[in-house]
Amino acid sequence: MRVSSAAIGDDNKKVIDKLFKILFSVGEYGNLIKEISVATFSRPFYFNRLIDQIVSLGIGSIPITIVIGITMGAVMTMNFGHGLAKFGGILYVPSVVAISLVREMAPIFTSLLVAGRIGSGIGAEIGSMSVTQQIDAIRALGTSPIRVLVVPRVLAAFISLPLLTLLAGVLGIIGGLFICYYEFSISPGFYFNKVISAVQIIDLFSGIIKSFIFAGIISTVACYKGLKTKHGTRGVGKTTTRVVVISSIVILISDFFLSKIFLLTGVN
Amino acid sequence: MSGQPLLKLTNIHKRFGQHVVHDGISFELNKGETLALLGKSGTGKSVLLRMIIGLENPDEGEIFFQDKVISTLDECQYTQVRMDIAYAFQGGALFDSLTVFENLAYPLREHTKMKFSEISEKVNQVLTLVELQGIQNLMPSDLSGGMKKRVGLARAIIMNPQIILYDEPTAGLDPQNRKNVLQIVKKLKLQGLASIYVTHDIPAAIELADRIMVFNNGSVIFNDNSFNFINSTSSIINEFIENEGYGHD
Repeated sequence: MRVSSAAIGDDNKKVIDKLFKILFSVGEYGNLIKEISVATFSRPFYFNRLIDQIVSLGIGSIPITIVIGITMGAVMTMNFGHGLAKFGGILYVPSVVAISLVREMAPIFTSLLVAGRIGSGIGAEIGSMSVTQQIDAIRALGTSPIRVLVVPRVLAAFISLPLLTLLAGVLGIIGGLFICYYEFSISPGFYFNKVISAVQIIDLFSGIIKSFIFAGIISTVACYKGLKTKHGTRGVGKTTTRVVVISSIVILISDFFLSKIFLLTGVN
Repeated sequence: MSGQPLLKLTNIHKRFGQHVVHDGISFELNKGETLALLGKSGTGKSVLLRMIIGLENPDEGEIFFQDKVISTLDECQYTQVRMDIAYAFQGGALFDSLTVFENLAYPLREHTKMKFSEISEKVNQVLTLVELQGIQNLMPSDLSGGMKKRVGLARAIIMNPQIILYDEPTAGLDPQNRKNVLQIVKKLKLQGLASIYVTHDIPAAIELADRIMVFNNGSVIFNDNSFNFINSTSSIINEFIENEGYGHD
């Protein structure tokens, strides 16, 4: 098939334009991070808005975290239990489940859930404010949208997500306990002994650090995409989708690298 | 008008991609003066207002407010300017998660140390001015388009600015709401507030403005009083007036 050189030129131009667009977005995102850092450690600070956001983002996510925590622990225990039973390793189930939950599954599942619930919420809220000129109004009234809208949401995510992760981990272990007891006849005392001896402080630390980083990713991506929303309600819809997709991908990729770093530094 | 101008724009250039919006625009606004900006859609009237309030930056040129350059100020330094220059957004741009009272109290809470009773009094005062008493507890979603514009106007003037920038305040309003908005603008003009009034509503511009400026292809093609605007012999101005649906008859 013959393709004209003009068509190739057009394609190259499109690719270059796309690359420049991505680089520009990365630069803008970096600038937003800088502005958030400056605004977090300088006045005015909107404490009441932070509390509102903790209630809305953190406390509002507790019911769904309870559901996901218990079911995650129960499902993992069931699968590990039946798998390990074939090799006579049923007694290792509590340790394996607890370590997997605390190090990986609780931070990842909770973060993906939060990316869906909180990230899309932040993106849609700030996005709809952008397209209705409310962000411009905040600036025109002599205030900063970064301080008024972004910082409280980012800090609320930093505070809420590690706590939600901890909750999901604990509930996952409890979910595992029920399955171990009813499905594999492991006594609660033995189960907890195994969990406590297997899970080290360093494992908890690894999980919490991950959730802390994921909170930063979700909230800043959501705020960035929200502030950049254009083209009316269609734009808000696109923003919501992009926030969830981008956050989820970045969380999964960064989890790999974080796990690798923790392994190399002896945290895992 | 005598003395130094309140606001001065010199040689403003602005382009979005290949589209040149402003190609060397210069003008002044004096104390208490009402300047109407007319022009076809896309000629950069609203962009000019956004540059004055610091929501956009000019590519070239300078904007002076009370003899100080404001176009080079950063976001933080612009705060004081935004106390003195208010922007009335086309759709009101009210914060939809706050009540009318909270919307109006927002700038007072941010920039003053007023007590709740003082804020409440000031809110009532501006709501009376825009003839919307008793709606403090309503949400913006409960208001009509005209009411939103008037609340937006009330929020813009609550800090007692020196200049108000109106972005198409009568666009999309029914005749009664249009009349109400024009009355408010007149009241503010009588109080000595200088203003720049972006509009397609030629009768309103003629009625309110001390001076009319017409934009075309990035430049100012007319800058004079209403009388000379109506009686202009320029074919471009006459064509513009006809196209905007306002004939000489």
